[in-house]
Amino acid sequence: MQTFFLAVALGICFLVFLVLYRVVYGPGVFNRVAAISAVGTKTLIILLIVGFLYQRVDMFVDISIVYALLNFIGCVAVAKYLEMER
Amino acid sequence: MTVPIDLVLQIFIIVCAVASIVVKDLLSAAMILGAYSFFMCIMWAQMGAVDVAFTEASVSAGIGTILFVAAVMKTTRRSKD
Amino acid sequence: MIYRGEDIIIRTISRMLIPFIQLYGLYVIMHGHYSPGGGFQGGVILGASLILLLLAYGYQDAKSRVPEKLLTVFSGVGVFIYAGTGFLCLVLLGNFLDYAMLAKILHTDAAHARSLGILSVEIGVGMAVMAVMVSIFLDISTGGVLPGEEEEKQKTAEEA
Repeated sequence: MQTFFLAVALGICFLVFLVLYRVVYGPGVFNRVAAISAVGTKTLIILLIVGFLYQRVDMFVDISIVYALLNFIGCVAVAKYLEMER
Repeated sequence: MTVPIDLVLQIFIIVCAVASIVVKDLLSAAMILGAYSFFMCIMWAQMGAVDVAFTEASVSAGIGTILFVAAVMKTTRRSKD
Repeated sequence: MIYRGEDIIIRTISRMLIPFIQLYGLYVIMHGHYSPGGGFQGGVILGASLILLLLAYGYQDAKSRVPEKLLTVFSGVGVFIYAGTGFLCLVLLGNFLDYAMLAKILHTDAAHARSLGILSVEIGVGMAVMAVMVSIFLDISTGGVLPGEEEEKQKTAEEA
């Protein structure tokens, strides 16, 4: 079971690596906002799988909920700034 | 057991840190720092320090990014170097 | 960043989410001894919920919920609760922040008194951190002059 979770975590890490291309090279700021939001949702899952590997999921669920809420607030802040600039 | 995740996270952290210095747009650099902070949070959690991971996620990835964006609003958006 | 906008999507979602974020912040403060979290992290989450309110509705509309004077009162009361618990333990002939001495007032044994002492300290820290986070955000995003005060200052400058 441990190797299965490890393989799933490495698969999701590969997906994060694909999205990081848009974070670094995305022409303009709109590509980067969408890419960072996507990175946030995927790494949330990696945190939960690390919790499964240590066999204590209930502690890591708290951190995941916090980051899911704060990701949204960060996106709203950047969107407000871009709206003001136009 | 979790050594491969450790190595992959190290690569992501280095990529994010170098990207936030190289990018010329200050708003994008502030957001990439937010992503860097969340990768650091996973690394703390993988080492077993859950309280430190919680603090890093809530302070640096949440409030820190918002305060950086609010500060960039007061200056120019293009860095001078 | 906290000026008026006409975003109905963000306003609706904020109205649905903000009570749950505050409830989660209170959960993190109360369960600090058992799960990751505690006073400081819960205070940051509560402050983030008030910042979301300011971002979605603008300062003019949300002024009644987040007044500037109430924030300074909250930060002072938070530090007062922390130091007050410590001095109460001093008055009861113990060391500073020696919670076992609180058992004389609460009529329980020493272990329960220590647990309740830590809980009151965490509540004080949470209140102070929430107030300071929101007031730092207001200070950075407006440059020190709140949107309602600019017109008053111009009027007094023209009259003088």
